[in-house]
Amino acid sequence: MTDGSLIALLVAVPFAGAAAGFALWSRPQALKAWALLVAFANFAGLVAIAEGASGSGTVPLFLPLFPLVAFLSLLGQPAHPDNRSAWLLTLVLLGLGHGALFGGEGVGLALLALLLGLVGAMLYRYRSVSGTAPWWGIGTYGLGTICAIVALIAVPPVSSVAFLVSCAILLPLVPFHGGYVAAFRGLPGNLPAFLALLLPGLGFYELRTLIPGLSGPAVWTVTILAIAGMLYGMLKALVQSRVRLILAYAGLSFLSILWWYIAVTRTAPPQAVVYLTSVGLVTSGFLLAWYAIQARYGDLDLRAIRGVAYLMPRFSILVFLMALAAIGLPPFGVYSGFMGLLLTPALPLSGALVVIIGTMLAACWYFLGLTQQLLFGPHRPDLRYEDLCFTEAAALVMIVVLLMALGIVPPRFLESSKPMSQAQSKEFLAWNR
Amino acid sequence: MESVTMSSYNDTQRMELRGLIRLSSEVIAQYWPMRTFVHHNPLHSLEYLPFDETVKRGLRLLGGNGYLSGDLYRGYVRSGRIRLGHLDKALKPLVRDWHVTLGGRRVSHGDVLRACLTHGLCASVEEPLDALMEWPDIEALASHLATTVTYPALGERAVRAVGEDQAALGHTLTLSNWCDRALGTGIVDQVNGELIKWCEAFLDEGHAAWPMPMRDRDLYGAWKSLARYEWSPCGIADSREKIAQLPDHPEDAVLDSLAILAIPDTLRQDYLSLQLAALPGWAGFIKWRAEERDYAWQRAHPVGLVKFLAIRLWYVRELVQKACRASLGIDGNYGAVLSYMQNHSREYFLRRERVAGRLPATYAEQVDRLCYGASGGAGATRAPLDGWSILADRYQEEFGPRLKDAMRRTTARRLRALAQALEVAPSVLVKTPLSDLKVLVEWMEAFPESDHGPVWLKAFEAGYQEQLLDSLVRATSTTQPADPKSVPSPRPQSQSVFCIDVRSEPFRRHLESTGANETYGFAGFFAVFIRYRAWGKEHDTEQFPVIMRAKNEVREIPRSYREYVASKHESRVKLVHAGHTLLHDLKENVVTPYVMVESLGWFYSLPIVGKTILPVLYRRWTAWLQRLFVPALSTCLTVDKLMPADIEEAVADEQRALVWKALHERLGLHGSRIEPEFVEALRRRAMNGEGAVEPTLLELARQAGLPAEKLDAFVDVLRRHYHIDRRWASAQKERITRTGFTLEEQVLTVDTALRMMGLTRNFARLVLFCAHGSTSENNPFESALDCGACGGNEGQPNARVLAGMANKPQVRAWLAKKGIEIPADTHFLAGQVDTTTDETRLLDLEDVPATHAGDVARLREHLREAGRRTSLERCVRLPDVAATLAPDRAAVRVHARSTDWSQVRPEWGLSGNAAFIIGRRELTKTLNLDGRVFLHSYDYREDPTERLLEVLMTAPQVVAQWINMEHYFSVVDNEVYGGGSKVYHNVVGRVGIMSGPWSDLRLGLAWQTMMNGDVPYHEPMRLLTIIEAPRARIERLITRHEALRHYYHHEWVHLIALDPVDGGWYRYLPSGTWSPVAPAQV
Repeated sequence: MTDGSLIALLVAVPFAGAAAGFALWSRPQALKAWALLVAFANFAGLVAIAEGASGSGTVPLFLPLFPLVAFLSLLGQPAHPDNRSAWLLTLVLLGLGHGALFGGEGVGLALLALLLGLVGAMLYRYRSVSGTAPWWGIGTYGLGTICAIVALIAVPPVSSVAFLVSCAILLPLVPFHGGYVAAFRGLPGNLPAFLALLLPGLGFYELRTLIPGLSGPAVWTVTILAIAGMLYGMLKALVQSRVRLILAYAGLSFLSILWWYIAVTRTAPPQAVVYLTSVGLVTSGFLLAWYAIQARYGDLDLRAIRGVAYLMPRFSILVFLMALAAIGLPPFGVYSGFMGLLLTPALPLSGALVVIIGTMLAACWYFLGLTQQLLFGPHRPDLRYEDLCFTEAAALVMIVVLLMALGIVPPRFLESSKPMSQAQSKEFLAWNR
Repeated sequence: MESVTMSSYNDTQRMELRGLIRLSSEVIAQYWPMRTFVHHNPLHSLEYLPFDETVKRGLRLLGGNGYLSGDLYRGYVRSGRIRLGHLDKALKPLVRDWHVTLGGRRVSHGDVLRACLTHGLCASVEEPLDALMEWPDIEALASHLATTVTYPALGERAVRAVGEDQAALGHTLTLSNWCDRALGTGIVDQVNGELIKWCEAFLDEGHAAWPMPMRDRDLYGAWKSLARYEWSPCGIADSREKIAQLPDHPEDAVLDSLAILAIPDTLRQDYLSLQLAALPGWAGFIKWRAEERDYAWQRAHPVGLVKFLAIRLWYVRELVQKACRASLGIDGNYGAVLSYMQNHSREYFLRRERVAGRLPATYAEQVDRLCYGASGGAGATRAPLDGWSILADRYQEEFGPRLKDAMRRTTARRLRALAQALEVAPSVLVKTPLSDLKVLVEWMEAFPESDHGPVWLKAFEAGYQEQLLDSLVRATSTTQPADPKSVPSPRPQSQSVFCIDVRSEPFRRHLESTGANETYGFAGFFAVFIRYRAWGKEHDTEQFPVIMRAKNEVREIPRSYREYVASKHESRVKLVHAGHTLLHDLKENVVTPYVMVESLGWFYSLPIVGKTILPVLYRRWTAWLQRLFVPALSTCLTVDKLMPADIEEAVADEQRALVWKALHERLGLHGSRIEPEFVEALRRRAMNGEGAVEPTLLELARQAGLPAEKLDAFVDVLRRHYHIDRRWASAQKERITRTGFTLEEQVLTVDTALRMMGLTRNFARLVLFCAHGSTSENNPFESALDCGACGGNEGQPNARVLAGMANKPQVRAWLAKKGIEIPADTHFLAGQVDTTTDETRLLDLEDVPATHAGDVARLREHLREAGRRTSLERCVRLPDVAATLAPDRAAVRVHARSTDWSQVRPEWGLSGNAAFIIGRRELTKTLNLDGRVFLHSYDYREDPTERLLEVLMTAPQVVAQWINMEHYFSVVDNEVYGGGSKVYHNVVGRVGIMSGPWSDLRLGLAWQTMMNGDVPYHEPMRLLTIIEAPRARIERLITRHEALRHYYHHEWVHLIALDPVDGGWYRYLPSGTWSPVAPAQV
């Protein structure tokens, strides 16, 4: 079987899995097992492709993490009927994600547009009955869909700008971050945890093709927006009392650092991949951990629960480890990725470094604050505390292990994710024609 | 807020307020400074109420639980410590003759109540609204209950919540608490923070490097003077002007604040109690200081609860006003708040639910948005009422059914747990008629967890009491009291009198087992009420229970033949003290620490390394160094009182020395030019003279070179600066008069002590009065391990004084006339046992006759062996000593603990105490009481007038009850009534302990003193007093003393009597009657 047909098969498997899953709709436990099986098969297939294609530059090594995170996010889910649609949508999104990656110029962009549109539609479908609909998020994904279509059909530089906006929606950049935040805030089940890696990963992957051809004004604009994103995300995260929003804005500020780095150096070295993946994994991990709380006690405000350290030790240890990872301590991936970025010889000394350091310090403040609030203090006597079950704990343990692995993995394993050269970049993305 | 206009109040109003505050302060107990840690009941002032009622009041005002958690009691059931029989007996008054049928089984009301206790079915756990964890059987049962379980609509809940809070406001809820609960402010914490800051600084007793200025004014005055310099404390605008406008009298400030807060007169007492209870530690310390008017720090820096409240209420009124205005647009007073709750019940309910974290996150956000609008943030206008109503309606619409589902799941889960507890298959529940299930639910709801405590406690106490009584009955069945006068007993090798402290029990048992040694128990102050000043110390210690007062003082002085060593000792001690002061100043100065750390900092590594790695060796080494530099001093005590003429002469001598010093210092005269006649004449002139100067004095002054015109000025200097005048002389004489005891007092003291302990005949050659102390490192609670009967001090001065008195031939001659014949060869000896190391030190051995050297050597050997065995027994109880040790290893281990500065539990102290036995040693001699019983020797046959029993029941029993209650409350709620974990302790102001850098003074005993891991080491039970005496005598004493009636009628103390008239055991009931102890217990 050729690589192309193998890839087509891998793209088709999640769709087929999702379609077949309807047959198990009335049996949540079986449906969950099926979704896990499909995600794992997809992961195994991608690993095989990555092994075969290593060095060719077509499949970055971190991409198998998509199905892996899909698998882990599904693993920790309670087998509740309310979660069924989220499981099937996970498979669909996984298929679309793979399609966007491997589909080439035309199909890829079309599937990307479809993916963005689907996420927007999901936001509308799962809007809160009581609250206002997340129009900002829906609008952002709508814009992303349009931009992807424009990138597909328009000519440069319109297509380039449209493609850059699509990237800015996937890998959140102020002011296109609304969709990212809304996805965290409003989507059910494991979807936020999965999208926390899938969307930025796709955005980063697509952005790599743009890097070499970015014009001066575009770079300048992105730099300014990235710095604004760091500050905005940091300040918003500091004042939130809902965990999902803290994570969303934390993600924005962390990923803005990546935007800034890419804009300034016009490169995306392995350290950037480590950083991106680690940030995505930490966010996923936190979202899964918080989902365990939600599964037990409903959608609570952070101020409504505390003192779980003694009563939920497994949960507490894992959350604490992820907090350590999130604030950039070794041996986790965020640390090695972040330090790798800062120590790049190409990185110029800039005032933005102060903002970056401030972003990390603020992250220490709100992540440790979140952990402290959640784990310590007197527990609520009117809640029945139950620690993580095996599957929930396993999913979080594997995320922590992945984070550690990313922290210590030698860079050469990630060499394939080097940016494309000017010659390799797609013709329709040229800025200066 | 509007500036406060000065109000004028008359003295009557102020006096009334002071009375009101005195009543309000009942809820808080005095807080003794930690250097004399006094075990006491933290709810002591409420002992006039029944125990359960007091516990409830403590919960209402202080927020402290009065019973262990249900989980811990259930743990005791599982371990067999609480037996189901005892539980059923304790439940009996609550059980009704009702039944239902469940799965073919007849289930009684009692079965359900017992299951509630043993399986925790009544805990107020609610099912979450949106939980995704699935329990199919619960869901099935919940569906079955659909028609029976109802959940009130939001409007109804809001009305109920408003009703509850309106009733609570002023009684159990302050306006600041209300703001915190409804508006999400942190006023209570803010005000507490301010008060902690000011109290910490003002009440400092020499700990602070930079003391607070203006402390010569009282707390209120100092605060007024200094707080105005703060920039907007707690965000209070115009604070400077507002503070400046406050009245001078703190009473007026309190009355002003109460008026501004519009607290109705009927609620003021409760309201003030709540304010004091917000910081029971600092308020308790202030309460104690205010009552100790002679306390040096109180004289220097007066403080009282009125002043404390004046400051507190000012912050409260300002912050409440600010919060209510900003968030609600209403005045911050009682009436306005009541009106708001009444008129905006749904808004209030939603706000309260949001702050409590009971709203789903999406609604919490919307409430925040409406609140933000209401507060006028970002140009928004106050949210219309419609906004709140719409939100409330939407919440009801969206979450009403889900809340009902959650309620059904909660009920289903509870019923399922009940079925499991009753060993009925849960599947039968869905087949059971709904009416029966409803009855079961009602039974459970009528017995909430908050009602379980008294039942658990009774069952818990019954287990221990039954076991103790069984062993006592078995032991006494073979020991009938014989007439001591008719059958002479063999003379024992020694007789030792120990403190009643529970730690003495194992030591006494082991000492008795080493030879023919008799032991007695007696309150550790040995009936010697003294204020004691050790040699070289500047302050007295009060060596008696804090409920008493002393009129005699005793000083430690060097023995006369050691004068040379004394002066050397004194000068070296001064040198050491100067060194310490220098180091302290270098450390605390603004500049020097930088230099000091660099130059001397390395030397500190020596003690750090020594104390950490080789603590025992380090202590030996430092002790050796100390002995080398400051030679040990042999001392005696001033037991005898001086005659009036001697006192007169002593004062005159002291004055002559001062005149001599003044001549030298002021006039530069030297020895050869100072004539004794001149000194005496000057002294007389300073003491008496106002008229013309005697010619003799003029002449002597001329000879000494002091011109006549300067003579009067010099005499004035003597009066002013050297205190040579009548007033000072009189004070001196009074002080000296208080020193020591007259012969009559000595005879009375020894007679009382010996009779109370029942030691009136058959004296051994050696009688030891053995006090106790303790040794530990880095332990602010050190004095809690010392003798409670000696006011939290070591008891050795009392033992020395009593031994000194009892050895006097004149005293013995008087005692003989009173019927106590002490043989000439009996020598009384003082000693002190270290309860941490179990080592005994014998004191004043210089006074032991040479004929008794052998007896002393033997006693010493027996004491050493008893100590080793006691250490071995104690080691078994220590949590971190797992293996069984050899006696020598045990001694090493306990010694190491006493030197370990990281040791949070040098010994268990008095933990475990449970009972107090007043009776002859024969009752308990054969028993191992596990160090849990206070033992006071008492022979009713020596006390026909019950005078001695009266003292025992009203003094040592009170001390034991205080100790018992201190331990009880420290266990049941260590956060509120206890001291919290030692790990976070910080000493503050040399008066107490704070947790971390900023907290209330911690009230009771530390977590590590009470708990063994998560399980209490100290079993919290009320004291059981067992008295061997005729019931009629005990009854008379109970009738005579109100405090005893409170103890027994209000169930603070259990009382059981062994009546020698018929040999029966009787329990005294709260109704005031006796009930024979049930045969099962005998």
